[in-house]
Amino acid sequence: MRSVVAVLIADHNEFGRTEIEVLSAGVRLAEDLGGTLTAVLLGEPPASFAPNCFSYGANRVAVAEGPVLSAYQPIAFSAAIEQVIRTIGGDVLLFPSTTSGLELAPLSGHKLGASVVMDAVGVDGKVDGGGIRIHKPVFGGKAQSLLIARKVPVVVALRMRSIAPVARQENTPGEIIKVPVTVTSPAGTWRLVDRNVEQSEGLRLEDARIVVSGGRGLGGKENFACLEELSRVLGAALGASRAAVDLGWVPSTWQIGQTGKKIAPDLYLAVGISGASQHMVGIAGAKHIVAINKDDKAPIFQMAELGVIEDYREFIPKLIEAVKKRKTSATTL
Amino acid sequence: MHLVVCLKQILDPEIPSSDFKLDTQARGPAEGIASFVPSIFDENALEVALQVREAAGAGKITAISIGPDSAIDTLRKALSMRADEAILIRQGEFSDLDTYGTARLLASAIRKLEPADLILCGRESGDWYGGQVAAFLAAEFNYPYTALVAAVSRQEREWHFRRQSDDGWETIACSVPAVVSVTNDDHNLPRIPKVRDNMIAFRKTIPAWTAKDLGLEPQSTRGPNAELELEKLYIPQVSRQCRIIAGDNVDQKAEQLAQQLADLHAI
Amino acid sequence: MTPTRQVYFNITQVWVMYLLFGITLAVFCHGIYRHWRRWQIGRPVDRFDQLSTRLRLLLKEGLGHQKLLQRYSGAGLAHLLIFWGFVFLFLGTVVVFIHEDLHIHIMQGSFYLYFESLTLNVFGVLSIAGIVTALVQRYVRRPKRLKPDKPDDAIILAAILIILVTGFMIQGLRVQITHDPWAAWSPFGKAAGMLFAAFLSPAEMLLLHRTIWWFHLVVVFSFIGWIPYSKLFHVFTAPASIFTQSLAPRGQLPLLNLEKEDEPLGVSRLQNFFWKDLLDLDACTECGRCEVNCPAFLTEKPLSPKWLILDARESLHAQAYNGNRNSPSPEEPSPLVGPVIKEETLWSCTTCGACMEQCPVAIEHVPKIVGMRRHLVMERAEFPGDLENMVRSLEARGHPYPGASASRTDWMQGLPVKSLADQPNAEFEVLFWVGCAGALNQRSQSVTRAVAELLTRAGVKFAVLGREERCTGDSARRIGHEFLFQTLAQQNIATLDRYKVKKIVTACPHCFNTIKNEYPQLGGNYEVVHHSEFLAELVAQGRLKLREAKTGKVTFHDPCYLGRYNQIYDAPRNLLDSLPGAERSEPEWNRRNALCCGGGGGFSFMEEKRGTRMNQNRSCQLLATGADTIAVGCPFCMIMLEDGVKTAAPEQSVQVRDIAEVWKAATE
Repeated sequence: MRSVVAVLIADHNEFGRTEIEVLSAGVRLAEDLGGTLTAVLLGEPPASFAPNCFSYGANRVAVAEGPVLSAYQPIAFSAAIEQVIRTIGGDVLLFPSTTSGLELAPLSGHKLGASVVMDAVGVDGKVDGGGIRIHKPVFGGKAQSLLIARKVPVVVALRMRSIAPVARQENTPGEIIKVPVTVTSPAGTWRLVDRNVEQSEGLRLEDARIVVSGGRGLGGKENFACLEELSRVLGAALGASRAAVDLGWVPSTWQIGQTGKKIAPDLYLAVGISGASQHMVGIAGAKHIVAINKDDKAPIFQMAELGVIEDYREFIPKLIEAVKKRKTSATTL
Repeated sequence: MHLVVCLKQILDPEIPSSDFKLDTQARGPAEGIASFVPSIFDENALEVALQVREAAGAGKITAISIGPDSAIDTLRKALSMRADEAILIRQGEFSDLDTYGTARLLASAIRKLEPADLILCGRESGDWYGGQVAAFLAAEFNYPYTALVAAVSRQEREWHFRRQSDDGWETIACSVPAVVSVTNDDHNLPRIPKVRDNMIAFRKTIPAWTAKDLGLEPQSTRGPNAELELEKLYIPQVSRQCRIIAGDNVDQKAEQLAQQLADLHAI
Repeated sequence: MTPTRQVYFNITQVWVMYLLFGITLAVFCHGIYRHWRRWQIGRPVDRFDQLSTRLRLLLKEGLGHQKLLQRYSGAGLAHLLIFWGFVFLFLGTVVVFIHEDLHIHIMQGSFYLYFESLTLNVFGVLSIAGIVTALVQRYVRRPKRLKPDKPDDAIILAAILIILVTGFMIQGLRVQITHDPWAAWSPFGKAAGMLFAAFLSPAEMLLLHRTIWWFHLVVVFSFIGWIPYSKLFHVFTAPASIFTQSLAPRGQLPLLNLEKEDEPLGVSRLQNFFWKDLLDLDACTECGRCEVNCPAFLTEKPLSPKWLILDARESLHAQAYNGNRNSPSPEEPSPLVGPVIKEETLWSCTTCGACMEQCPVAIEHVPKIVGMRRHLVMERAEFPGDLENMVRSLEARGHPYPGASASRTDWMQGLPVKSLADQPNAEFEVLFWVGCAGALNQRSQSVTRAVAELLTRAGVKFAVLGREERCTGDSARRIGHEFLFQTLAQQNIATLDRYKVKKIVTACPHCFNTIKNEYPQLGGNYEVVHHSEFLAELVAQGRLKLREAKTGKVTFHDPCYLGRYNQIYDAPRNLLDSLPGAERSEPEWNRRNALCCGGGGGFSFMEEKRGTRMNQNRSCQLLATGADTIAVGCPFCMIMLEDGVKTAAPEQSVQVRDIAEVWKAATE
């Protein structure tokens, strides 16, 4: 087991955090195994993609080319991945848990007859007797599992915001190869009709440095207004727990948790959130967690760094005042 | 129109953390710590199917589940939500059932039914979070596959799926038949069944199929995932010490917190 | 001469009277018949058991006007006078009938003097006083509960007044004209007569007498004929309703037989009500006592118990009296729920029972509301979103708190308490039923711990079910989910019987009421006490001793399910009074009149979407006592009032505490 492949879809995104994390996991794994890291690119990536891959540790970049890759299509792309891997080889395939990753990882895995593990938070190659170890939380984050794969190929989809990025190395050389893909469109059609990008006042939840999040304790849709104010004052993005989404108070794109966005902000303010494990999974990478909840027995207080035991209805307005005061005094200094 | 929904019965995921314990060999959760419920996303999938049928005015929905005999409860719940048929596939006989085997088993059962126009699964099971069976099922049938679907509508000869993308929503047009994995959304919360439907569901017979019924050798359901070894399963110890901000009143606490945030360079 | 009087003095063509009476009787009977047929469309129920109890209730509540005199007693007294006046005057007429038509000459001698003359005179005047009071009440003082003014109300009061006054006039004119030797025995009649004599000649008086006699007769007969067609019908339906009221324990809702395949699940049309529920619609006199004691109505929610009954009544009268008895298929839209009684009305009720407590004619509002909720929840699966989550949680987890992160055994940490599952052969005196709030709600956990500590201190060997406890099902039943309630109840009964539990103590009146009054419907029979009763027993037995106390000013809020539904008012009060240093005051509306905190009927699990908050209403009443501590005996009241007090009086340091906590704190 030596060759690690990071499968990256350059669909409509730029090279960013997602790609960095997959490459970082790959480069560390390749090191453990004494092997190589290849980045496989599909979907007409811009020219800057390949050099970026080298900067984050890829030894080689394989660009798949073929008519079927002009527009994203799950079955076609997974067939393409199969052809590429059968052409250039690959023992461990790493995918990000993007929408396309969630489709392509199992589909290509099946085609390759690989063991497939989804939603992993880490991989390492420090296994006696050869093989890789995959770290996968289960039961909504209540338990952690360690799986050993000794047979190739293995497909692993990595959870977002769970891998620490490696340092970027400038001016790293690397080999770029083009792999022709001759698979045709499969039986059945699949096409994108419409795309709707959620504008959340400019700040994407995954990229925000500060996130303010509300849960069941808010009690109603209107009550999110005070959190909106707080987020404006802090320059934060807004999120929510699954409970708030299920109750129809906020759109599902705000959902943070096991089945929602995984984020790793510098500061996370959880308001009226009890701290169920499924939610905490979404903020496992957060640097500082502050919890505001009137229930002192809420589990979130075991996981937060700072806690305030107050009813948010009274506390948040005061916090907004206090923060505003600081901001104005800071600017007058 | 025939819709097939695949359901799994799992340990209640809402069990409080303090009650969650592993069995003595640490291979899985301990027995008896919580009740069993339908896997959360599978219920969303069933709700989506019900909404598709309502919009079309007609159609048949078959609920199918692999599990021990107790999984009948999940299938009864599906019937009480107005699925038309339910079928149980007895897991007991199939040793080493990994995700490949699960998909193969489901596929062989589905092939025995009338042709399906859409097969719906939850995006991942609420216990082990495999997240692959739906895709494998699509591979078994060679049907198009779409993940993270929240709503489905029929447009002439195509399915239209509204699905979550990385930064919002996408509408996908897909040919019939197809396989989807469903995610939760405020519009597909599983409906509360009417009690009368509950009572009717209770009286319906649910066939239980075995390997023989499906023409499969139990050993043939081992796939590459069966090669994965569970090295360790443990409950992570959380040892973060939380500092509760003290103060006589709300104003003081707010002040304190603002100060702390400033110290953290957040503001 | 024997004291008597000539019946039909100065009256000729008496046969006209009999003719008119015949017509009146026909009209009257037809009206009764129509009502009777309408009541028959309801479902059968046996309300003729325990006849002696029923008779006693009829005497106490009907003749004795018990509820009318307990509250708004001025109005109650007025009605008492009108009522008894009528009873006696009616008896007087019966006497005339017996004397004149049956030729049994009883109307003479002392009987004539004492009864037919004096007693009737006195009651006649008292009755007039009653009517005048009623008129002043309705048209001068104008209490809200009597709104809106209907012409019928004026006509009825005027008619009675006319009947009474003309009666005296007739009597007065006769005694004057005939120089009646016993006129003094009818003092008021005599006075009226003297007034006439001052202005009129004997010939004029004769004419006037005859005219008024026939006028009086026409008014009386019209009155009688009108009875079944107006509010006057309560004269019959009120006693009937009182007599046929449910004798089941007050806190017990009727059991729905879920085994029968085509039984309707709840009430979607009038035919689904019991016949008694239809009868009591016709007993309503629109007095409005239910309305002005309803916590929902008082906070401007779309529920008025009075209008619920009257709207249903109107719908009943619009039905042909040979209405279709058969139940329609459950898929058909309901002609009652929706068009006549709005869903938002049904979802505004806390099931506090104040309406039924105040109703002088034993109308059963709450079972009607729950009956209609049953249809909404079980047949249509339509209910407020918050309650959907509560139901999901009950089904999956056996408790109504979705998102609860505590386990049922968390409160035991640090206490020497173990679940029965961990020590199945333990011997115990009593089972402490903790309840879902007591186990899973952070604030209520302190109460549970306080109770456990007090029991331990008293040396009581008690057991707890821990994780084997499931919700008693009270909330499910109150929102109309009878199926879920029965499922939960049967599970609990199986567990309790497995451990051979005989006696249960609980700190939650909802659990208390359901296990005590409703589990027997499903075969679960246990002795159940509220913790206030049990602790009071322990104090009386000397097993709990006072150490020192600095309780201070305290007041007690009666929980609906402990007080009104189970008549337990004194035990908690005694418990508080037994603490030296406790100065206990009573809030404005207390005991049977206590105002609901707004936590029952599913409200602890859903938002109040309309009007003002019920808990704040009650909190203000409790704060007005000036107490420093508001003592409660129910976890829902605790949560509601803590929130209410914090909102109503944030600067004050008034505390809301369970009586167990007060006791424990005062004796540490």
